[in-house]
Amino acid sequence: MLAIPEIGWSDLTPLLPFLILCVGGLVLVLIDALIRGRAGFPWAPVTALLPAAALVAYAARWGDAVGETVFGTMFIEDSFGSTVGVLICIATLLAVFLSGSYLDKVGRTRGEYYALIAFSASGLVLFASTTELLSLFLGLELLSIPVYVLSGYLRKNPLSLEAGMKYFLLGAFSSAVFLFGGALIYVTTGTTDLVEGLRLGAGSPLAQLGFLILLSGLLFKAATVPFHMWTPDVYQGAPTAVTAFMATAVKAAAFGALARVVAAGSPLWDNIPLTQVLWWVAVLTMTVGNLAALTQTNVKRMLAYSSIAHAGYLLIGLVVFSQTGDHDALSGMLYYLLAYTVMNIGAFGVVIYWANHEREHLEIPQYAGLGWRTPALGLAMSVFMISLAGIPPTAGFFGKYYIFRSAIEHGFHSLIIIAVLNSALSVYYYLRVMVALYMRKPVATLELGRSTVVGAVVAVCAVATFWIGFAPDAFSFVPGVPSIVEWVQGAAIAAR
Amino acid sequence: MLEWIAFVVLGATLLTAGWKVVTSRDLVHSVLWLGLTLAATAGLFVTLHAEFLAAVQILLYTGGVVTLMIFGIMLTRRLSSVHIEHGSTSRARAFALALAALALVVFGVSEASRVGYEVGGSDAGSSGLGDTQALGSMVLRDLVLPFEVLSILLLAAMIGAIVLARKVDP
Repeated sequence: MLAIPEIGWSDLTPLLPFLILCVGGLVLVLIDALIRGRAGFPWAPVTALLPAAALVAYAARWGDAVGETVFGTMFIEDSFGSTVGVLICIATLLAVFLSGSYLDKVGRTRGEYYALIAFSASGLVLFASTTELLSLFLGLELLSIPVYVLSGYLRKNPLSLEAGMKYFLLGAFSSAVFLFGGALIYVTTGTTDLVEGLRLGAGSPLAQLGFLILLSGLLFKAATVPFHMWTPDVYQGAPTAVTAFMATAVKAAAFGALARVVAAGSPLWDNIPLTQVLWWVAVLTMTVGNLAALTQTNVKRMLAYSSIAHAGYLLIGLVVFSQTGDHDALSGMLYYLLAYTVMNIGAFGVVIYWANHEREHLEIPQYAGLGWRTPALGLAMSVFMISLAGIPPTAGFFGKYYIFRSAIEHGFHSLIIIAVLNSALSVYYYLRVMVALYMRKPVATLELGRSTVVGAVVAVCAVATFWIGFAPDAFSFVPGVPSIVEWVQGAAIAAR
Repeated sequence: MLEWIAFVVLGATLLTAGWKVVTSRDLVHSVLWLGLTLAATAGLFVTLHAEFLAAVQILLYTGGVVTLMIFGIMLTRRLSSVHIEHGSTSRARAFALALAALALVVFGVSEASRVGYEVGGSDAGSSGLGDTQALGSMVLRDLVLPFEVLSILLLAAMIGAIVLARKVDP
C-alpha cells in the first residue's frame, strides 16, 4: 500500500493568500446561489474583503517568506512572490470597488462577476509564485479564463463581445504555445520543475528552444511587442473596471512570472543571447506603444497603447536583471508596477466616475472643459496623466527613475536614451487629455454620472500617486513597517 | 513486429481521418472523422503501454467531446445542413506555417529520442504497480496541489460559460 502523505498546517500556511482568494470565490458562488433573485447584496464590499484578507495574510507571514517550497516545488514562498502578491491584491481591491459602481451604472450587477474576479486573482497569485511548469500553467489558465469571460461580460455590447472573443482565441493560442515550450523542456529533461529542468537541459538545443517558446507565451500575457495586437481591442471593448484589473493586476503577475522564468533561465545564457532578445523586445514595445498612442482619440484605447509602452519600460528591469542578476533592477520594476497600478486604476476610475447610466464618455474631445465642471476629478485625472507621462514629483517619475538608474549603472546607455526619448514622446498624448480638460470649450453639455465609492478610490489613487512620488521613505517611522523603497528592495527571488 | 503493424495501421488511420476532418464539406462528417482520429490516437496510446491514457481518451474525447459536438450540431438546427467552404485566401502562408510546425515537431522528437532521459519520480518501476495505480498515486501525492487547482479552474470555466451563454438575465 502507498502511504498517504500528511498535509499539515505548515504546508497550507504559505498558500494562505491563494487559498483565501479561491475559497472566497467559492463562497461568493454559494452566496449567489442562496440569495438568488434578490437585489441589493453588497457584492463589491464583500468581495473586497478577500484581497484585503490576503493582504493581511501576506503581512502576517512577511518575515517567513524565505524561499520555502510547499507541495514539492509547486508553490514557492519568497519575498519576491509576496511583493508581487501584495501588488496583485492592491490592484484587485481597487478594481473590485470600481466594479461595484461600474456594474450598477451599466445595470449588470451579478455575483458571478465577483466570483470570477476572485478566481482570477487566485490564479494571479499562483502564477507569480511558482516555477513548476504544472502550477505555472494552471495559474496562467486560472487567471486567464475568468478574464476572457469578464472581457465579454457586457453581452449586449458588440465591442465587449469582440474583446472577449479576440482575447479568448489569442489567449488560448498563446497558452498552447506556452504549453508546447514547457513540453519541449520536459521532454529533454524529464522534470516539470523549470529551475531544475533548465539546469539539466542547459546544453540541449531543444530545451533552449522550449525556453524561448515558453517565454513568448508569457510575453503575450504581458502585452509586449510583437505579441501586443490584442491589447487595444480588448482594453477598449472590455468593461472599464475589467480593463483596469487587466492593466494592473494581470500585468503585475505577468511580470512577476517573467522575472521568475528569466531567473530560472540563467543556465542558458551562454547559449541564448537573452539580454539582446529582451533588449529588442523592450525597445520595440515602448516605441510601438507610444507611436500608436499618439493618434488615439478613445481614452481606453489610448490607455491600452500606453500600457504597451509601460510594459516596455518595465522590461528594461528584466533586461538588466537577465544580464547581471542584480535584484535592484527587479526592485525598480516592482516599484514601477506599484506606481503604475495606482495611476492607472485612478485614470480608469475617473472614466467610470464620469460615465452615466446610458453611456460612458470615452472620446477625449468629449472631455472638453470637464476640468472646470468637476474640478476635483479634473485635477485627479491631471495628476494621473502627469504621472503616466513620468513628470516629477509623481510616482510615475520615480518609478522610471529607479528603473533607468539601475540600467545606467550597468551600462545600458543606448537603451535608456531610447526610453527617455519615448518618455518625452508620450508626454504629447497624456497632455492632450489635460488640454481637453482645461483649455477646450465644451462642445455639448455632457450628462455626467457620479459615484461616491469611485470618487474615494480616485482620491486614494491620486494621493498615493503623489505620496509614492514625494515620500517613498514615508511610513518608515512606524516600527516594523518597511518604507516602499525598503519593501521593494527586500524582494528577492529565492535561489534554489 | 506486431507492434509495428499496429503502429502502421493506426498511424495510417489517424492521418487519413485527420485529413478528412479538415477537408470534409459536411460538418457532421467532419465531427465523425474527428471521432475516428481520437479513437486511433487512443490506439496509439495502447501500443505505448499507456492504458490509462487510452481509456481516458476514449471516455472523454471519443465518447464525450464528439458526442457533445454532435448534440450541439443537432440542437442548433441551422448548422446541420451547412456546407463548409474551404476557400482559404492564404494557402501559401498556411502551408509555410504547417511546414514550420512539422519541422519543429520532427526536430523535437528526434532530439528527445537522442537525449533519452530516465523518467524521474515514477513509482511504476520500483514498486511493481500498474500504470494506472502509479498515475493515481502520483496525482494525489506529488501533484495534489495542481490537481485541486484544476478543479477550481474547471469550475471557473463552467461559471464563465454560463455567464456568457445564459439566455436571459434574471
